[in-house]
Amino acid sequence: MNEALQAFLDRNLPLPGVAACSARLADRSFVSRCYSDWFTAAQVEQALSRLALAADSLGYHGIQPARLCWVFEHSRIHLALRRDGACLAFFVENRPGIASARLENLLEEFTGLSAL
Amino acid sequence: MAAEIIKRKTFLFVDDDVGFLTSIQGLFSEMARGRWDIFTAENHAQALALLSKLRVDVVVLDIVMPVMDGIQFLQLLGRTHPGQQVVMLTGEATEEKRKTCLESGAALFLEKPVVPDGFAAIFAALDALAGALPQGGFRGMMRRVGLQEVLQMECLSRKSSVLEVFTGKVRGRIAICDGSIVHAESGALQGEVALYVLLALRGGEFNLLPFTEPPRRTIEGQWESLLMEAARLSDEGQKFLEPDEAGPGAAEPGEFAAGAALDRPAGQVRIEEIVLCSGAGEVLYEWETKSLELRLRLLEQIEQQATQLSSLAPVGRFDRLEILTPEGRIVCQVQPDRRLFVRSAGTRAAVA
Repeated sequence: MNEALQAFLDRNLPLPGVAACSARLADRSFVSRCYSDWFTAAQVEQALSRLALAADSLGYHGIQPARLCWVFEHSRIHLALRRDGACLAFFVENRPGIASARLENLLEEFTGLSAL
Repeated sequence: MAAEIIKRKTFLFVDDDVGFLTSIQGLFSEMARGRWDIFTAENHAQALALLSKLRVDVVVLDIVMPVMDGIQFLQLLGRTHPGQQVVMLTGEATEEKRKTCLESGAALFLEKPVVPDGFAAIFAALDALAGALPQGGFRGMMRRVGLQEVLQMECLSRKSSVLEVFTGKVRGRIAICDGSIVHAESGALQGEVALYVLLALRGGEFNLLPFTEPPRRTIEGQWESLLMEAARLSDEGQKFLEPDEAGPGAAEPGEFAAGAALDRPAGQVRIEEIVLCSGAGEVLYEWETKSLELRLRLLEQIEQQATQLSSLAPVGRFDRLEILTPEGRIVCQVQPDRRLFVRSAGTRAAVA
């Protein structure tokens, strides 16, 4: 596992409301952590692949996303994209009281990490 | 035999022309044969002082007066003395003034007579107005009350009425029949979209009018669901749109971007594009869209991707996708009954 990413995840997670996180590195390998039984690692990795594809497809519509948030009834999926192709998703409970600002800062920090 | 009790009618005439006041007091006192009490004031300050001490049936206002003209005073009375019957009496009547006065709550807009018979007509009108029974129900002011609350009250009590809403720029009507919201219109918009636009206004004024059947009924469904949806959209809209501090004069969504938004300081956003469709894909409203087809395809694509995600993990029903780009933000909402695309530019960078 990439050391910078390892340190980043160790330092910041778990967080209240964050059920799982998954990162896809520039070499297309995955790093996933699940903090509840809502999601399995396989689920979040598959979901992240779809999310990354969906983000790429936005380019066809003239949209260059830096971060996305898919809002569902029970979950919010926050996604940050890096220029090197790496991306990180937080699978978060969709309920009041979740520290969204903290998550935003983490996503911002992720995009600024040294090469993954 | 019981003595006949005749209630004396009370009037306050406000005019800066002292000669006119003297004449009208003399003339109308004579015509009333003791049935009228007439008070006079030469300006709004004197009138307010009188109104603080006594209650009159009708205030008769001249329009052209120094410091505060009659129209302004009429509007002030609407706030300070809700329910007060006010008649405008002017020597300089125009259609514009008539419209403004009647919309501001004047009961009548009359022209100062130029022939003697004219005073008899004015007297008859004022006498009838002062003697008219008040309309059933209350008339008054409700401060800090939202349209949602008014609609709730009307629907809960299963009433039929028309809620007329207006700000400086937006004007609309919501029709309620037997406790159901049956129609809304605002400018070119009709139906639920118009309802949501009106309920998203953060300030303005309203009149609750007797029900009249709208040209066609454009809204179906439970009022509770409609109001909840409006509240949700409004919350999201405010969070996303960050419009100007609204009061009377608040703009509709498209107008947030059209005005002075470009001059806003850093940290604020402006709306650059809106597409709103029905669930069936019919375009209900679009604003500043370069390629409608591309936007519709994007919303369709997002719906498909969301469906795939829902099948992969227990995330529940899809609501919306929020996208942060270097230029601003985009929200794509896909609901069974509507699809919404809103693009904004600005420096409020957080994707909530």
